Amino acid sequence: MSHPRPARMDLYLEGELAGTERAEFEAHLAACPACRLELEDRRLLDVAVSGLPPVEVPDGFAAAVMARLPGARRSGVGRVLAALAGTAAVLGSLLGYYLVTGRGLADFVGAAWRAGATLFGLTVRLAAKGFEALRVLLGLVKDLGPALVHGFGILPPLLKAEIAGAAFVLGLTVFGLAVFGVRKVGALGGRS
Amino acid sequence: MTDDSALVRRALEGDRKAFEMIVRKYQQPLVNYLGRMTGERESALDYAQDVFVKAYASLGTYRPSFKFSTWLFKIASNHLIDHWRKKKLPEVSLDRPFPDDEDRDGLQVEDRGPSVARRYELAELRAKVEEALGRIPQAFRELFVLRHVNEFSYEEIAEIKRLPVGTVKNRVFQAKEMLRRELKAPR
Repeated sequence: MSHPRPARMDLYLEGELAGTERAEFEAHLAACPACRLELEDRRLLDVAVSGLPPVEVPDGFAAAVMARLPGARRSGVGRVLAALAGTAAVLGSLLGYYLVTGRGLADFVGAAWRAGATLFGLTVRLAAKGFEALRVLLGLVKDLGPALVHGFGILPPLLKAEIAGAAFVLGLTVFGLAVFGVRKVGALGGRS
Repeated sequence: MTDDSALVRRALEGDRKAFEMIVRKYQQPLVNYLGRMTGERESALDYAQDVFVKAYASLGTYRPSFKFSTWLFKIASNHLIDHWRKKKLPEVSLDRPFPDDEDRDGLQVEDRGPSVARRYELAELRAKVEEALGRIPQAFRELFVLRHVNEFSYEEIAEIKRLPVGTVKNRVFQAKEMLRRELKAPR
């Protein structure tokens, strides 16, 4: 009489054997004490595994996750609250203006208009200054080009072979340090 | 539509409370899985947070035709793989074919030997199992944990790991045999 393979025993325990296969397996079990013992052993191991104690999750875990979520996606209630807060702020400033100055809504609108216009004028003036600075910078770059070309033109006759050699070695060293040094630093940062 | 799908839809509409309900529902199984895989509670909790944050960021890609738990554990499994790669821990690739993959019934335990389970009281056996699990290669341990700790079906595990169902069944069986060998080994 051949015994069922261990894999078949596991399938039986997991309820994955059906029909004829299951009936044949159970018939063999009824007649084979060794297989019954083996099956019982496997069942105990399954019980032990499925009953492993849970890894404890602290009470504040969900709150900690929620605090890490990117950009609060505001709910419907949140949007209503935000609108209410905005309205309250506008009304509050109107009331404050009235209480402090004793003036009415028309005065407030006039003052708000004047403040807006001042802010707009200031922004326009600042932008104009920015454009002017950019124009000067571009002019400088334009003048610098021919000067650099001229400089490079007069440089070679002044360079002696020793100076050129030293410059080449220096350049090579700087290049080597930049490439391999950076890689080294990167590799160190990668270890953790 | 499942409850999870409804919660996801609400979360996508900006209802953070709905996502918090998802977190509360899955925090324990996810931490159990990550805890058994890392062997460290603190790491498991950190990774579980990362997984939920990743899930939230990609909620829009979730398709309600799939089970949410399967989708979430797929993210968790990928997160673990990234972690192992960064740590350069030895991995056993599940893509490598095993000779016995197509012949599950051909697998033999060397000898049935003395009983493993009956050697210990249940509590002691659980402690031994917990310890022995840590010595099983991660790739096998993962399938075993998904099946026997998290109680996913073989089909669900196949979906999480993108493996054929037969391969998953075989590897889970192999993992169990490894566990039995570890429990039998004198220490």
